Amino acid sequence: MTTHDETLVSAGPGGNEWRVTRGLLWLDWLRMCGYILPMFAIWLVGIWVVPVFYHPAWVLAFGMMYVLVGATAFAAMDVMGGSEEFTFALPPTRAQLYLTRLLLGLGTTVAFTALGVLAVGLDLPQMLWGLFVNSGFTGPFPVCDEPMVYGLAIALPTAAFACVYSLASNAGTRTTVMLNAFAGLLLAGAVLIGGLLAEAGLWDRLNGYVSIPALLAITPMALLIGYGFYVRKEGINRPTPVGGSRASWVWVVIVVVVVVFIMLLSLLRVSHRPTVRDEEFRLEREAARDLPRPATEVGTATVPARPADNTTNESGEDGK
Amino acid sequence: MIDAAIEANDLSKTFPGGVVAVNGLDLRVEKGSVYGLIGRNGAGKTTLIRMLVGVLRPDGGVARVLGADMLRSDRRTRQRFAYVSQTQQLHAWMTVEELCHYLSHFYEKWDAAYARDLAGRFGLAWDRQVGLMSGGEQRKVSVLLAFAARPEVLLLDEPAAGLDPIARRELIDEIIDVIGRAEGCTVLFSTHIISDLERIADTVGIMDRGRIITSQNLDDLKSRTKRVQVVFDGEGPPRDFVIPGTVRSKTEGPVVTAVVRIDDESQLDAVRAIPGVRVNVFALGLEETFIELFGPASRGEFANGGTS
Repeated sequence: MTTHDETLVSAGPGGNEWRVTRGLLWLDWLRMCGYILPMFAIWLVGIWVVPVFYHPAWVLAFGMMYVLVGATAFAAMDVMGGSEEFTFALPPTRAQLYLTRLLLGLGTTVAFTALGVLAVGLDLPQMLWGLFVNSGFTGPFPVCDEPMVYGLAIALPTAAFACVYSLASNAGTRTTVMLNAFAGLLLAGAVLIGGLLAEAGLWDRLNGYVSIPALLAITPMALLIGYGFYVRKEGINRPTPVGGSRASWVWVVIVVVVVVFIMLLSLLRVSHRPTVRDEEFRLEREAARDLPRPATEVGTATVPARPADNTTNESGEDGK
Repeated sequence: MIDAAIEANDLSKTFPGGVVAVNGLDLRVEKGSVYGLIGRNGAGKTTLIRMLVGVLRPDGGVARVLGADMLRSDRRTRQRFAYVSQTQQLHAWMTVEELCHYLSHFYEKWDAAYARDLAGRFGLAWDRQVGLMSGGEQRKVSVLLAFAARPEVLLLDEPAAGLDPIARRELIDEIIDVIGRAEGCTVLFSTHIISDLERIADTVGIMDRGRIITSQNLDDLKSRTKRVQVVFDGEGPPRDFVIPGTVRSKTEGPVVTAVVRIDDESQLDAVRAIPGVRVNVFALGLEETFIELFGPASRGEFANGGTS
């Protein structure tokens, strides 16, 4: 018997786990860069160049759009491609696979949303534009000062990613991947609505004091539970077609419609509640109405302040 | 006692729906041997191997490769084996080069030059996407990846399944050649194509209904299993006549034909001594042996009474 004389390429002394992580990240990046980079470009253009997304609600919408496809793809890339058996038979453990994909997937989700929130919240794009554009053709964009929306813009996509990732990574077929991903979204939505209902009940206004912590709390819980199942998961050895009988899909649609309907009803129940900012605005208006206005100087004449009800003064001369 | 490279004790696996794939199986493969696992479709070979490599979780019992449970082992232990399966789906969007680069991160003994060498010998385009390759080429890529990892244990689950005879022959030739070069590597090779097994294995395990029913040296198995024909003059055989070592037998008039498992032909001397009896002994190839033992007429007889 002979052995091959060529140089052995070592993975590093003592089993360098960082090298393994790098290998996994390299594969995941290669597989997902076609999704991450265009999304990054949209984010970059939408916030920094053409400020169409100049509101935390847009950051929230963008984050959810990213999660919708990204979390499923990161979680179930092997099941969808039929390569799970190949992957599970390689040296990296299931724990390493789960955590590496989580690192890249959740990392990019949090990075996109947090950077978006920071940019909008600190008004960075307008500051940047103001450095070299002072044409006067456009007025400044209003900056949202609703802290709850900023909080939700980070917490909701993060929690949704965690729920979708946890459930989809433990699916064994393409059909269950899709169903589990949708269930993950519903779960995150249910936590959000539950939080909003609690806020409406406790404070008579929406302030994010329950919904945002609840979303942030469910994130590690979902990921931990998903991890517990994933490390014991059995690999499938071929791509499975999207299956299920027509009757089963009808039932799925019925359940989804009912759940979404219930969630919408719940949202309607809380939608008339004022937010913190609305409440502050209302209080300011009331205070302004109740207090007598200070006298205003116009030219050399001193005129009394107009009544707070915004009607013209009695003389109808408007202080001229 | 020689260390076992692969070991299974009382291993069981039942799939949802109550399908018992592996049922209290015991297996022991010595280090450095080439063990051929043979059995009919559905005998449980693939499930056994998938439990050994940690892809499936056993319901009961223990499956160990190099003394470790691969489902719970760390990366350093897991890099000591490589696996090629009959239905293995590689990442179809990657080139051979990219796959080799990817796997090189996980194996401390990854041999990049050997991988390139094998790609040349297998006629594989280094920069071609795996998904664009034929089924035979994809199997060769799987084998290439497994061998370039320089594993201590290699598990091949019907690597040539689904290939045409020529492609299968080529692949098996390559595998035999590579196994010959891999010093000290333990190989578990599963197939239901017996001619492949005869060319590779030094030890054979026969699997039926989730259990290993016999496990022995290939030459011993072939030399000990024979077809014996006993022809009686005139009338048929006596009512209680049995050829020693019979696994199964058939009587047609004065002729008794049996598949027997005997250590030595001298065990037939008692039959030869019967007056007016003619005894013919035929050697059986492994394929004939398998068909005799597992053919429709013999279903279960070997498993119930003929095990060694």
